Amino acid sequence: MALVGVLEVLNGLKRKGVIRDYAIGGGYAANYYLEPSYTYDLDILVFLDSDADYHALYKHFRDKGNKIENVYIAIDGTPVQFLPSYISPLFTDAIKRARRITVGGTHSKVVRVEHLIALFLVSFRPKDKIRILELLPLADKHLLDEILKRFEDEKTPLRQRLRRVLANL
Amino acid sequence: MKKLLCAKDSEEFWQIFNEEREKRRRQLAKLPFARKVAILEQMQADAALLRSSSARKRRR
Repeated sequence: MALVGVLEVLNGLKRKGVIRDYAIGGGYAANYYLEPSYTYDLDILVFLDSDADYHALYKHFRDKGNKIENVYIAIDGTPVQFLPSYISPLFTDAIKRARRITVGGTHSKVVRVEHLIALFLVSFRPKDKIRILELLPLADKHLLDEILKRFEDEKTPLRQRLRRVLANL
Repeated sequence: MKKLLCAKDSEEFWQIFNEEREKRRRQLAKLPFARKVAILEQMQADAALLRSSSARKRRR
């Protein structure tokens, strides 16, 4: 399984201190909670303090000879996109409170369903809106509301976006 | 399937169809994550094959 290979690489980076922590997000996280559905890339929320750490992460893979294309780093044949925590407090919270999981004997973390909904409300593409509707029945409504309230701002009114998704049902 | 074949009209057909589809989705959602990832990776391999074969056709 290619995913296990990627997770082993990420766990190795954590042990070496290149990254502080990480969690699986995006389509793979949606696959964790819902039925299997196609996704091209693996989104990894990565706990980093600064853009210098982000550059160091890319340099690490470049030096290792990993193919880097557009925003993706190919790890074990899987295009991986790293979303650094320093650009959004929502990412930091999602990593900190992520669920511990084991995949094929390898330990990892996947973002909680409530954070995943919030992250989809940020990206807010048509396919994200469909996933939000599918994930909502699995979410703790109080926790979701707390997360949306804490991390929304004028540019990304998360609760208003959720109401819009629900209104279009 | 039997239920679908017994549907008397379009409304009944779609009602049974949607119920069965939701039941299947719920079953698939309960699969272990590793099994879901194996299915997903098969989809990705199929999509890559399709992309490369369409690219070859375009070049011809």
